[in-house]
Amino acid sequence: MSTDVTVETLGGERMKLNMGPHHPATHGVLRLMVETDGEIVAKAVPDHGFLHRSIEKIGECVEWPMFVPYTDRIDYVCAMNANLAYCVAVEKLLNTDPATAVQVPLRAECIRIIVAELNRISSHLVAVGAMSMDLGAYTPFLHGIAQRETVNDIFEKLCGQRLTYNFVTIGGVAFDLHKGAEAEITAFLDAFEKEMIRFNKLITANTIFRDRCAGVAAISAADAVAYGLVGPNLRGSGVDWDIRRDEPYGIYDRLAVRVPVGQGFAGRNGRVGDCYDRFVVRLLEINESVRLVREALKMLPAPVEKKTDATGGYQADVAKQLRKPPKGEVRVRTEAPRGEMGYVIVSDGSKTPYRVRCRTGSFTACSIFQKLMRGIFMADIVTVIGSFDIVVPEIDR
Amino acid sequence: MVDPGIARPGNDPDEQVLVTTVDEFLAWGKENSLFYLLFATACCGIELMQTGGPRYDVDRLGMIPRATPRQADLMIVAGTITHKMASRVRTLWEQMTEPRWVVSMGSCANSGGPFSKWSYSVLNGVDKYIPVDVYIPGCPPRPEALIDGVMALRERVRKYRTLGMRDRDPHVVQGGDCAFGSHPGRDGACGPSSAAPGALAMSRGDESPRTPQSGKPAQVNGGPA
Amino acid sequence: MSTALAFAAIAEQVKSAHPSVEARESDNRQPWLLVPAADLPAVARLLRDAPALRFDSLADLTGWDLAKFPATPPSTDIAVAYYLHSLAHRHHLTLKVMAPRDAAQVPSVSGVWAVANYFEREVYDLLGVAFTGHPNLKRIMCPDDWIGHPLRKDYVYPQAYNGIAHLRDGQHFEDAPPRVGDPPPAPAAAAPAKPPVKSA
Repeated sequence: MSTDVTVETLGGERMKLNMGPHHPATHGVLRLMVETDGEIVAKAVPDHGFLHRSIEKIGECVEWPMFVPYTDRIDYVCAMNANLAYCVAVEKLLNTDPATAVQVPLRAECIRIIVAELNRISSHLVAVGAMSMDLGAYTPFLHGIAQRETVNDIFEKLCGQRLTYNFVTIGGVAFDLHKGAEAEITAFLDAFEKEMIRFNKLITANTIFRDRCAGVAAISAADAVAYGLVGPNLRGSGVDWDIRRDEPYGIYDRLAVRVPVGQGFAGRNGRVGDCYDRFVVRLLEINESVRLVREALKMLPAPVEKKTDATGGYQADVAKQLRKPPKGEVRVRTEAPRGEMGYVIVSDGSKTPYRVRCRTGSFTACSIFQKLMRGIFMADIVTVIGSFDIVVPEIDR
Repeated sequence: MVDPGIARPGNDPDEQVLVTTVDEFLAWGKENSLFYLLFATACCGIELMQTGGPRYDVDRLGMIPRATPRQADLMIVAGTITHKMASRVRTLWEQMTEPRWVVSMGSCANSGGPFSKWSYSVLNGVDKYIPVDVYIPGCPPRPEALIDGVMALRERVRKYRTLGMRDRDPHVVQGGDCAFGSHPGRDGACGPSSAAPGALAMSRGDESPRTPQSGKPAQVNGGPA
Repeated sequence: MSTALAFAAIAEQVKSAHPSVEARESDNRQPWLLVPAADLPAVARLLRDAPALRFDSLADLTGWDLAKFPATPPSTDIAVAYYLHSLAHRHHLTLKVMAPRDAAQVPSVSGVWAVANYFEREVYDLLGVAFTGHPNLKRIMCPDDWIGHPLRKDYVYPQAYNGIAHLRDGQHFEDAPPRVGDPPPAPAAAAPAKPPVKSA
């Protein structure tokens, strides 16, 4: 909410407040050192590292396939996408040398899209649910969690885990779809679309919620690019960029990815790139993901007995290549729910990576906090944090 | 016993009087109102959230999340604790009012989990900083496993005596108000080896039998480890 | 309408303005530009502002220690890599700056791309590269009093932090990374010493 009262026009004493690392609205263990001038934030300096688990160092200690479970823990809200990013990167490294080239079976590629987009749905549900919960609306969060449980059930049947899947592997996926999975997923999507209409009536169209977010912390497109915002946060500022469409990996190039961008959805008080735009872009992306899952289900080739089959198999054999991968480096960008998940992988030709670097969306999103939170109201801090959908292990790794 | 079917339960005058001790009554109340601190660091936090969600609904056990440690009885350490975070966890635990309980949820909080060997920054077990009552294995534990752990904790809470002898080591109380005596030999007793937080250092050579690590935690059957 | 430039064309433009810049290739034929540390701010500004280049986004900034990377002759540098991307033209570029390990210093580009502020703090924290001209060069992941830079190849893990031991009582891992004050270094050093004895 814009205001004529600024830090400069008001004098007086400043109060220092410490928000976090334990605070329910910081989505984990983010710490903000806030300096307020009355109700207005004069300064908010983020402090990170409370969940720095040295995952990048672990990448240098373990063998290539052993790192996949750690990618789950980089972003556990969308572990499938995190798995996928690393596996796509290693496959790209293997493909830089024809001797170690790997051909991921088509069925595996389709399954990857299905699980990644389903996970995107469940991740965005947590994001929008948690943001509305931060703003005092507890019920939408419960609706989101209820739908997420169904996705978790599907994943659990698929790979035995509810949260950290370790499902996408280098060269394919760990298991084929279980019997009846297609019908289950379709049934979920049908029910889910109806549920989303209710969800939108409940919170998205809610005047109180919309006015609370409208015009808060609007980011211009130029700022969004300069501060390295990615994913829905970037698109919320009206920048039309989605890696799935513009630099496709896997078989995204065969799917029609439509990219919703922010356009000041909040109406009269709204501005392009405000908190409400970021919120709505996520909801629109959920609809897109539903469509992509349906498209991928249609493309799914019939399964065959042989698991390495180029069409109906689900896992290429890469064990031999991974003992002696090509020497060199690659960089891959993928579109995770929290924006670009990019890997820089350096290989010295041995069975362990030389360097694994994971670039995540939440880390760079935090770099704009200090600029963004100057001059906003105290109560809007949680709105801003919620609208960025940060996940702390993604910041700290 | 009243013959079932004759009167509605509780209507018989005999049933409206229940003789118990004050301690048991208080323990019964505590057991059924375990307010937990909304404290999550990593992956387990999502499962904790979903346990509070509509399907698993821990509210029915009287468990309501509290955002401030001063209103919480139970701290569920959900997620990895790093060296940088550990002293903050200790502060949070100190801010909780007595009696307080700690559930360590997931492999990371139990022992460092997948990070114990190769990580330089992860603490191998939150019990190096605060005493833990129940350990729940799993990475992350399923909500069912968490509820199972809470049920195991409720057994302990039921044994807690507010006025009589304490189940827990009194040394955990800061400021020396251990008026009710200590019973280190009791089954399941645990507490840090020393009262002062500065003296909490437990090096590898510390053979004290009453370090939190070597306490006997309640055994819980969890989900997949 | 594609205005994206190939690597060779970008390299040509940069080299015409800064002859000290070299085009290189990694072992698996990924092209990059080697920029001398002193020229980095000027090159960065050129890349961002030249109308045909317009690298408006710094997609990633990272680094790695080359101490154990198999190369002849062995390198003593830390590679700092800048991954640039142009949303306007949709093309990419990788820059690298080599900083010597014992005195790693690179000029900061946080004035060119705002996000570099965070990336550089991370590289400083984990690899110990000092970015000169950075507005707030402090550790970002590790605590301020942490010793050493963890992603360096010769990093030795701490035994304890804040008086609390890292490992549990009696815990021991086979082939775990070295820790400060570990007793095993002697046998570990003896094992690799054997083959030369045999060959001699």
